Amino acid sequence: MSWVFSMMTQSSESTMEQQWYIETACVRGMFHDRNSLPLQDAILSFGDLYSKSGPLVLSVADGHGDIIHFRSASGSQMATRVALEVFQNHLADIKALEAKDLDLSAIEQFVRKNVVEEVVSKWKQHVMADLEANPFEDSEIEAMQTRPAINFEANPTIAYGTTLLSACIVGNLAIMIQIGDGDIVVLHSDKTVITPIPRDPFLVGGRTTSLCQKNPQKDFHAAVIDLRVRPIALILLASDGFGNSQVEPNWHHDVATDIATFSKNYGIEWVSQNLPLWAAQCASNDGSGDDTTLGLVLSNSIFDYIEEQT
Amino acid sequence: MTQLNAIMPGGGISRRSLHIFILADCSGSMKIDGRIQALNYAIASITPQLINWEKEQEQAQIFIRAVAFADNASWHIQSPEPISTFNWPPLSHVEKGLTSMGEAIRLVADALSPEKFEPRALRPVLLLITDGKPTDVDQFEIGIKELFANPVGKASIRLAIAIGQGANFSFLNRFINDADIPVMVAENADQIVVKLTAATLAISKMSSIGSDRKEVAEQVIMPEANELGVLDDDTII
Repeated sequence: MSWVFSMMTQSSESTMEQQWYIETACVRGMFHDRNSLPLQDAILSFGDLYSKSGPLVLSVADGHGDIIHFRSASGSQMATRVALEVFQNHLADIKALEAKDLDLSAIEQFVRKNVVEEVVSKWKQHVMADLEANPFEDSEIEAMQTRPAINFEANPTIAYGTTLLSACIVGNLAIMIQIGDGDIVVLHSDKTVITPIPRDPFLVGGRTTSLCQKNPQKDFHAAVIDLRVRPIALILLASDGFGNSQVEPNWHHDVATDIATFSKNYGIEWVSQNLPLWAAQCASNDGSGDDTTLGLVLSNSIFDYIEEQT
Repeated sequence: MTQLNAIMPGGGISRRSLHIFILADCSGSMKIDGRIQALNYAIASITPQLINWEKEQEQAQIFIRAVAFADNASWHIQSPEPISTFNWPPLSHVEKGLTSMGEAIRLVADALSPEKFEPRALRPVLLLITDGKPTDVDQFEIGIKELFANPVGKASIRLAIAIGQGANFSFLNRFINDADIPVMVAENADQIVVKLTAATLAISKMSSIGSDRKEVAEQVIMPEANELGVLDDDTII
């Protein structure tokens, strides 16, 4: 699925119309298929809910596959929807902060205190509303009983457990938030590749931080980039089904630069057509076999990528 | 197998890895009743089971590493060996050799450190086989501390086989660190194969249980035909 957004972005050298493209793909993992598990990843971009112009938001969520998270397919969809709504609610505030020329750490603080807090509370509200409308069924209660140590009564949101990764471009800012596994990769126009959200070293062996945990705010990461200082050519959001398929441990650089090269050489449409195939390969038994979701935010500056390089 | 052949960005994809670490006792007492020979035979005989399981579950590539310990501990197989081409190089006991179990645990803990262990790998399996107790108790304490301070070590599935009555369960239970998972006891050399087979089935049972150690424990206690499933179902920390 693809969307095109036009925005005026103030670069360090000149004011130019910047066009952003959003490309998405979300594929059910082979092992979910084999075990009759639903697709538990979700992806949503701003245009799905609102107009196709102006600021943009892209969110990816990966519902946990363990038996105790039996409603995580719903949980991940709620997470992506809530992230879009919350960013939408705060766009004016963020623009106002940017107009005040506050430093990036102050904006990041705002995001943590407002966007993250609101995402957490609204996701929980959505979960509780869903639970009220659809109480746990007998089969789900049986699943809960497999882990007697877990107190579902105290925290029924465990059933909906999910990660969340979001990227928002507003004004001259790129804002990213994340809880749990998965990757956010940024390719700057100067060809440097960064992972603005650090990988939590304790996210190993199928363990992840989650929206359903106690006090999820403390494990949310946030990053803010000033596009006037560090223009961005590409932002990649990926669920762990993608990263867990990559042979190279430090795959981020090669994947980002290859996508930039493909975009330049074959066009955005080609990337759009191939994105679901890349996700499908990772979701197959050639890769991680897990649900795999890829979301790309591409700037039209990506067309200059190779020309500048050679 | 998928028929998709899209040009992919990046350096290629592959299945995730499942690393099995064998910590094998080669102390002097392992010569009693041909224990070391039985251990070599047992490991050689479980290899085909693991190869079959790798083919069936289609989810993970299995790799073996091994540490041998007696007067000191050293890598018997240091580089991860793919199970598909694996041949077990036989171990020998060390005459009057001690039981440097602590040093062996420290070697494995180091290999599981975030700098050395591949982040996308599934939870590793640590299989400790001994007929005694650590003679390097101070190193054992350090090794256990290092293992559990390490996120991968803490997340690992740890199994222990005690050979004969000389093995000290309190040390082995501290290594396993899970009240649900019992030490497997091989009363004699013949039972080493039986217990190692049970351990292998327990490892393969991970396929249908995700992160539930209790199911692994049940498999250790009462081995049964394993079902295929999801090796790594995410759950919260």
